[in-house]
Amino acid sequence: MQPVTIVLVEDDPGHARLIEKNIRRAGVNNDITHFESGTAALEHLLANGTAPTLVLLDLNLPDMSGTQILEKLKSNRDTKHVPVIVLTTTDDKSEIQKCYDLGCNVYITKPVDYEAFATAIRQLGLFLSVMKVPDPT
Amino acid sequence: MPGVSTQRVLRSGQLLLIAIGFAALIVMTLVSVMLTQRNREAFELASHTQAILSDTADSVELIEDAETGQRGFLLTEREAYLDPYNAAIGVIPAQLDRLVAETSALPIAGEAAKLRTAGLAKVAELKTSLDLYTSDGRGAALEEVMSGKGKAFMEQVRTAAAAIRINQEQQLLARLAIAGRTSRVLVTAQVGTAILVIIISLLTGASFYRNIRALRTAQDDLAATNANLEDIVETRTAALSQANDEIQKFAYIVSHDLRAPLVNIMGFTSELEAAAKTVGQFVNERAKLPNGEVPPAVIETIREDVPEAFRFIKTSTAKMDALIGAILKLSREGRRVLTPEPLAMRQLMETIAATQKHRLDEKNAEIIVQPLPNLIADKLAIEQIFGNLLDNAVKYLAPGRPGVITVRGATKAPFAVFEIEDNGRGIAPTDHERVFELFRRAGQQNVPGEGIGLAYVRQLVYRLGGTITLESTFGQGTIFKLNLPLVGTKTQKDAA
Repeated sequence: MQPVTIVLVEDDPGHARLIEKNIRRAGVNNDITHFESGTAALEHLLANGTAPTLVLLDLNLPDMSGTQILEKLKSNRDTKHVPVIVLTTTDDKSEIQKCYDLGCNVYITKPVDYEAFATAIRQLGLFLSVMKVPDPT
Repeated sequence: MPGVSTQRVLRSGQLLLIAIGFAALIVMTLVSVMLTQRNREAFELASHTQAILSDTADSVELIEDAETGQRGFLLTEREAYLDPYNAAIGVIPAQLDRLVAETSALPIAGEAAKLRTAGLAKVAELKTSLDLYTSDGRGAALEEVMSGKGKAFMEQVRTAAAAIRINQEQQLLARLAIAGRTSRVLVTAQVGTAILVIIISLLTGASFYRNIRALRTAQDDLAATNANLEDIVETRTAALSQANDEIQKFAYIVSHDLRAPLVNIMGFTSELEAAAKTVGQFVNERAKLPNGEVPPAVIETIREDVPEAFRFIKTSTAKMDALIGAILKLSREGRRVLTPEPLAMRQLMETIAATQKHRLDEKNAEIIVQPLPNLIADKLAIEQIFGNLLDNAVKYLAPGRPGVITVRGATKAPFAVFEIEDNGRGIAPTDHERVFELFRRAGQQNVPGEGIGLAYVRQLVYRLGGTITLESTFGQGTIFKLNLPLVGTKTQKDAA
């Protein structure tokens, strides 16, 4: 049983660092692969589609929108079962709905209030630790 | 398009033509009537002349008949030969009298009188000869005839009759000539009238046609201008709404892109604070040790300067977050689809007023809602507009006097006019426009607020297709005046 790899798609290095710090603080020790562009992340994900993976996705990327990545992942046979957690600054209701319609599993708004942000990430960490349980098959 | 003066000239020209036409018609009709009358008179005169001629001829004939009868009788001595005499003798005086009567007013009255006298004398001479035949026999009668008296009378009759005939025949010719001339003039006049009428009809028709064509052209021009105007309005509206869309999009992107670094600033500030706390603990531990030797400057920095810096950073970032949030709210509201629905405005206003009840009681104030025109508009937008305005009115009441806020309305199709009047602290004239600007506030800053409410209200009012203005006397109160369309339109823009 291969351990789950976390693929973090986040163009802002500061955000990426804060997310990683808080994930670690939550006691999650899985490998985190960080991509700063949508293109590189998609390339990696489509190439390693069958590997156990969890995607943390930011929507505001410089080269493409996060929803596009979500759409491509969910329409690919290999990657459509990969859980996707959208983690972004956008809190627009229609945008959130669009992500859920496209098949995202969890949508988290990055709060500017750091305490709330840290709490959100830690709760995500709990979710990730559940994911870590080995698949009985 | 022909100018006004051209049209007036055209119209007066037409009127002149029509007037000329009618005048000509009237003149021609009068001339025709006159000429016809004269023709009839001429005809009557001619027939009178004919009667005189025929009566003259009849007179001569009758006298000759009488003479023929007398001569035949004296020649044959048979009674039957007297018949023409007997037949003529009875009617001759009447015939002669008629002739005299007919010619009484004419130059030939004298000739007629002569004819009568001679005729009657002739008849008397014939009677004398016949009487002599009866009394003295045939010889005496013949003697009388041969005396030549009768013959002379007969010649006088013929002379007078000839004079009358010649005169009357000349008259007849003259009258026929006049009648002929009159008839020709009449025909000419009538033909002339007809031609004139036709010409004027054609001219008037042409003039009317030109006029109608000018009118139609003007109408077409007007329609084209209208259509053009509609196009212009449509283009402008499209340009405006595009500009608005771009501003909304800009605000949306800016607020999002500003938020991303803010997340970092706040995040790493918190991280830094945690780190500072760790360092602070270490410094405090060291300071407690007998040989700890921490310089006082370090202790002061850790205890005072660093927490103060964090406080300022945090309040500033919090404020910046609030401002970005406000821009985002405005931009999001600007992109929301407006769905008009019928709204019972008075009821809606009462509901909004009820949400202020607690604060109204606190401030000893009341909201009076008068009858209001109903709207077909987006409910949320209307609620937010009036909610914000009433909230402001309550917020900025003047302390020290009971607050009275009045909401009233009227219909001024296609708009509804609403007024929200308060007796609050008022807005200085220099701030009348400023209060509608984003993040700007007027007067004493003693009431909490972000300076968003009125900017938000104005944007909503504009989106609904209305206007908002204010009238205010500083220290006395403010009236907000709203014009909102009675029937709103659904917006097509989808919120992204």
